[in-house]
Amino acid sequence: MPSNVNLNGVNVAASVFDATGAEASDALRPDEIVVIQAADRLLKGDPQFKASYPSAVLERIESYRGVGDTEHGRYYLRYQPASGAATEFWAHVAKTPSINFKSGSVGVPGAGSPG
Amino acid sequence: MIPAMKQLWVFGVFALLGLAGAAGSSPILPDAKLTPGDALTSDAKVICVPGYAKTVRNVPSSLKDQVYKSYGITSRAKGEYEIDHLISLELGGSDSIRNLWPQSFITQPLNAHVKDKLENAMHDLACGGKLTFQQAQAAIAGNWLVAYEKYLGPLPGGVKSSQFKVGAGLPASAPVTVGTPAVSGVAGTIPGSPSATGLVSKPGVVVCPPDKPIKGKISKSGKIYHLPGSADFELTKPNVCFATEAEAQAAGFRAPKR
Repeated sequence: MPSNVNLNGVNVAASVFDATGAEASDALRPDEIVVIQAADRLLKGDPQFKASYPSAVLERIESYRGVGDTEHGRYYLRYQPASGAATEFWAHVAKTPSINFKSGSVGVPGAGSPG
Repeated sequence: MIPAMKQLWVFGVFALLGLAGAAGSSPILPDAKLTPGDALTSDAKVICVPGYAKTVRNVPSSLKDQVYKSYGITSRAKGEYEIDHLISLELGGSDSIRNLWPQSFITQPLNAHVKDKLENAMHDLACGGKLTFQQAQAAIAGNWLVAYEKYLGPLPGGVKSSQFKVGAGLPASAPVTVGTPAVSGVAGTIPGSPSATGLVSKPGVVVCPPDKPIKGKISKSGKIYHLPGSADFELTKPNVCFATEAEAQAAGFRAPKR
């Protein structure tokens, strides 16, 4: 079952899926929170994101622990803009921050990443 | 007319969910625990805009791999499966793992193409105001076979939704056969009863019937048959069964390399 977690000052429904793909009762780990918050900050600071999804609020995240930390699709982020349909992004650990609006992938340095 | 000798009697591989997952076989219905269904929107003003589904992003391949893994599918042939959105994008479904499951293109008579037909029909009904998207989403996530019967009519091949259970266990009867892309012209018989299939199945185990004891396996390594008593026979989870080696070879299968 999802639990609420405060991410960048917003309460978000968070779910964790274990290595088998089944939903687990675990809470998000600190290193996972670091990545998700970094992805959220990156998106919300991006001009294209702001223009495409005005006042978008992160309303749900999912952590897929069976997916490698650096693989696209490691985290699922769902944003609800002020109007219209929700939109989905995927966050993962990367050496440098990046957003690909076509695929929805968001790369951010992880908790242990240098610099 | 298909020569009787070339007919491939194949067995049903059913979603035992936990059990089907363990067997690594092709589920007809998703595991309700792994894939309860998940919607991104139920707003007709959004979904009914032509091209809406294309605005939803693709599922990353690493997540697709996770879905296959969670269903116990560790190897697959090209074109054998798709990662299906249980609540389809055109019905407002999301890309969450809650909405994804591996659906076979090649099981007969029920497969991804059959579900696609339902999805298109339900989209048209919902956009036409005949039902709400919430109703459509609940119906297809609850049991797409039941939804098919309700909104489209009888399922192909004479099978009935009541023959399949959602969530666990073998179907009560449900003779479904499995074909493969390479042998689709000769597979796909629809036996009238479980005894007709010769299917021998119990929780977590799928075996070939006594009159078709040779296991045919389709994987990245190709189409390989395993004889009873051979090295990998017991561990092999078959896609198809054969009576003789000649029959297997005629269908394009080969013996394992040793």
